[in-house]
Amino acid sequence: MDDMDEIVQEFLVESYENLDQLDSDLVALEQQPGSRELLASVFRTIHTIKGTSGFLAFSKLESVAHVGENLLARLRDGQLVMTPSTTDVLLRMVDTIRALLSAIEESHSEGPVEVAQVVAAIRAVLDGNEPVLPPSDGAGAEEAPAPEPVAVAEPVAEPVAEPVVEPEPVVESEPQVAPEPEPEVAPEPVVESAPEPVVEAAPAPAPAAPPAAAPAPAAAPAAAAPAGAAPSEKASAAEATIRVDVELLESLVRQAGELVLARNQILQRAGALRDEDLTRACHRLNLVASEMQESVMRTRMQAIDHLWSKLPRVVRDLGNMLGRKIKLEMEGGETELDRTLLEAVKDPLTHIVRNAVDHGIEPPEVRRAAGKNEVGTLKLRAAHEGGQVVVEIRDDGKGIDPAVIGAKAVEKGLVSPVKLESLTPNDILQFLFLPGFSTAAKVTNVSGRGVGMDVVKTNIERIGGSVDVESVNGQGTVWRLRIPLTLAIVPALTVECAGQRYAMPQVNLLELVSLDTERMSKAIEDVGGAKVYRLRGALLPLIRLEEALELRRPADVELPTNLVIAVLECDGRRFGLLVDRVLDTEEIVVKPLSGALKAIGAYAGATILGDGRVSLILDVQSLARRTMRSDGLEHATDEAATQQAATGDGQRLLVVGLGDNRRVAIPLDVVTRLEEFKTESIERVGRREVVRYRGEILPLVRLSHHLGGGSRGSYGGQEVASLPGVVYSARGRSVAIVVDEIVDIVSGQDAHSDIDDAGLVGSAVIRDRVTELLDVRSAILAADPNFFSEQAQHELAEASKRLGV
Amino acid sequence: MSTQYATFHLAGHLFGVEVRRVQEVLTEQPRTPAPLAPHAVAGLINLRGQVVTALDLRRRLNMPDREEGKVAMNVVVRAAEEVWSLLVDSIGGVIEVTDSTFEPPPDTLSGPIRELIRGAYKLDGALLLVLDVDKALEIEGAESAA
Repeated sequence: MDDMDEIVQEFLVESYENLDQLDSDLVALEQQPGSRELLASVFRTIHTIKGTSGFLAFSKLESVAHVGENLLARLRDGQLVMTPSTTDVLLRMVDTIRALLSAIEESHSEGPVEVAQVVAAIRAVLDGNEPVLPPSDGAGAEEAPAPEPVAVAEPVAEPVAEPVVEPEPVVESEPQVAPEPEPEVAPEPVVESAPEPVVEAAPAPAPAAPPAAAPAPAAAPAAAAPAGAAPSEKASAAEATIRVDVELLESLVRQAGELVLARNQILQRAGALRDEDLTRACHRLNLVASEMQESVMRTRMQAIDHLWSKLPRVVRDLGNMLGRKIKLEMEGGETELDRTLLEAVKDPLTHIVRNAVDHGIEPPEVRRAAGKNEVGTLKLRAAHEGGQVVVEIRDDGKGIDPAVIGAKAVEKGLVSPVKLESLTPNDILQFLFLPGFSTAAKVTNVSGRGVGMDVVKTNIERIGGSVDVESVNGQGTVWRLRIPLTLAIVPALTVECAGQRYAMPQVNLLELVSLDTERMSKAIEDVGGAKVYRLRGALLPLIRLEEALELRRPADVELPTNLVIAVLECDGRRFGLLVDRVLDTEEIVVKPLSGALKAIGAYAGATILGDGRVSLILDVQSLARRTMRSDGLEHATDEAATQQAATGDGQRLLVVGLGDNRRVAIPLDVVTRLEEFKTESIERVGRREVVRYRGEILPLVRLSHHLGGGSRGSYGGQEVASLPGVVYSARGRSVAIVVDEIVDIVSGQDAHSDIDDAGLVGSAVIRDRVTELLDVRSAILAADPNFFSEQAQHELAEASKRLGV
Repeated sequence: MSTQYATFHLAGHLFGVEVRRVQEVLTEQPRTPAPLAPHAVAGLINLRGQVVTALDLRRRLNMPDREEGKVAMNVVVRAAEEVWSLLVDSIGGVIEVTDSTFEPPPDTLSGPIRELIRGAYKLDGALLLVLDVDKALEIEGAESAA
């Protein structure tokens, strides 16, 4: 019931404001009867009231608004012309609506307000007759008020020609509701509804009062408050809240941010001074500033209930349509979010809920068969967690079957069967977030229209949030949205590089890895010019902030003795940012940059740190895009296999160099690791070569030999210390393919010729170079003729096929 | 008719900016460098909580850099929707000049200076070069390679 009250309250506040606007619009209309703009505005207002009152089951209100809307539609469409009597009728309608509203506000019901006459009068105008309006004052006593409110709720079929009233359409200058014996619902006269005075006042008052900017509306409902009734405990709906220009709020939020910054600076200085009085004053400043910041932020906060209130209806209707029985539970609806964020979350949330009803919860008979309660439970939960709001949408439906998702992903060419095998069920679920992925077998009008989870993900990530999904097959699915509380102040990590400090939003940060110089040289490997780090076995592409920003180290700044890798994730890609030092985590206020700096695309803004110095906020996302090769290396890792699929069309290829300037491409699917093999660890066993690798002995093939060409003298002639190679592992077996050089990772090209040779499946032009496409299978067999079990052979053949054999 | 100009010195020249464009004048401020920014951007300064981009006018006008150790003064000006600080060598006073002494840029000027000044007032013993502030601030991509 409380929810309902809130909706009604909102409806009242909004309607009062609209009515005030309506009064002046109607009067203005009389001056400019042809103004479509005014007519359209009036029409909209009445239409809104009609719609909402219908929804809230205020039938009298609906019937009045309904006929009013009909009349306005005719006027708007030019079928009727505005006359003074029309205006009178319309104004009377507004008054009646106002009376109904105040009755609703007071007693939560429409009460005994009379509507039949107004309805009849409007109908008369619609029928082309002169409207019959009862005089609004004095004569009211003669009118028998409709005894049963139920009867009045039904629209009166015909214009009732009341004999009491003369057809003279002129209304009294103080229009009131239809005669009504109960004094408490009669509104006080509202000055501007009197037609006469306005005539002289302003010929076009319409634009004078845009609803958003007018603080005035508060006055009107106050006037409409019951005259003789006992003082209401609650302030009138419109009195308790006022509308404030969003601009003003924004500027308050900004200023509060500034205050916090200034406080930080003062606190920092004061700490050094050891002045007791100052310390006390600072302490107080600290408290006040914090509280003020919080309050100001709260002005922009709205409970997530605002979004949720629509969902019971959505779930109910959808459930009925699809024949599902669903119990919707909501928890934590009071959790508040910045209103701009709330708006951004609306569609994704609704989408996920619809999805859960459509694809998640099974029909009752299926549930019964599965031994579940036939009423499915959909549970929404919102809570604050670590500076973020977490919204959980949990259903106890059929869950998502990774096998189905995996098969679909293969079918759509998003992943190869070989790769799929190495993915965990959770990895596979991530395919749901790829563009164009929809598991619905058929397109329903509920979901599966191609707007999928990828849009949800994009929208949530745009506001600095994240979304993930967990599912247990047969038991249900949990979607989890993480949303920042606000955008104006963000938690950030401050780092130092080449003597300068930079801030980066913490939302992108996964972890920090500290490296001392000794370990650094070993831990950071070079793959074709790109630096990578092995993070728990997976390759993490690295960006040196120093290089990305083209920083020059001043001579007086010592080279760091150790470095820190900030492991970041954005756009679903993971990479490491190498910085000198991590300084602190701080709440920072994001300040805009001048156009010239924005255009660089490396900074998201600037902020002022505690010591008063400006610090640039790194735009981690664009930095990654700027710096990493188009594809990035993380795709070589299992964890990021989904991104591999995300890049879409082409097969992803590892390009290696051989002697004679040859370039050979190897499908990345079959690359388990990239390695440097020490030459001394390569030994001969019979005719074959093997390499000792991680305590194993790997069969090895030298690609130049295999493809029948010379090598760059890396072996045979003078020895080099190590050789780069590709390791392919499957089912506990591994082989090494030694090459001369690892060049790059690219997306495969379609243009390839069939000029092939032993060991090749063709060639293609990649990055302006003719590149041979390796027949991986034959290369692996050359290293280890017994490599393939039957299944593996099949899968590898598939992989080769994708290269266009 | 006469106009008031806030004046400053730059590599021996006397420049002026219309007084109404000038928000304030500050001594040397700590600057945070902005890597990858156009050459003439000298960094960011904290102007009472507002982040302001500093433009080194010497660089913008292709003049040699200030000598090591010489401080730069800030002339804070308002542009369309932004506030910028112009780095100059030293600040002069506010000068009122009569329009009759105005002339288009003298022929002896060439290069960026010529493009970025609107003209000169002939003062006693000096020329007051009028900086075209808006043009000077149009640096996006204009000379990032300078």
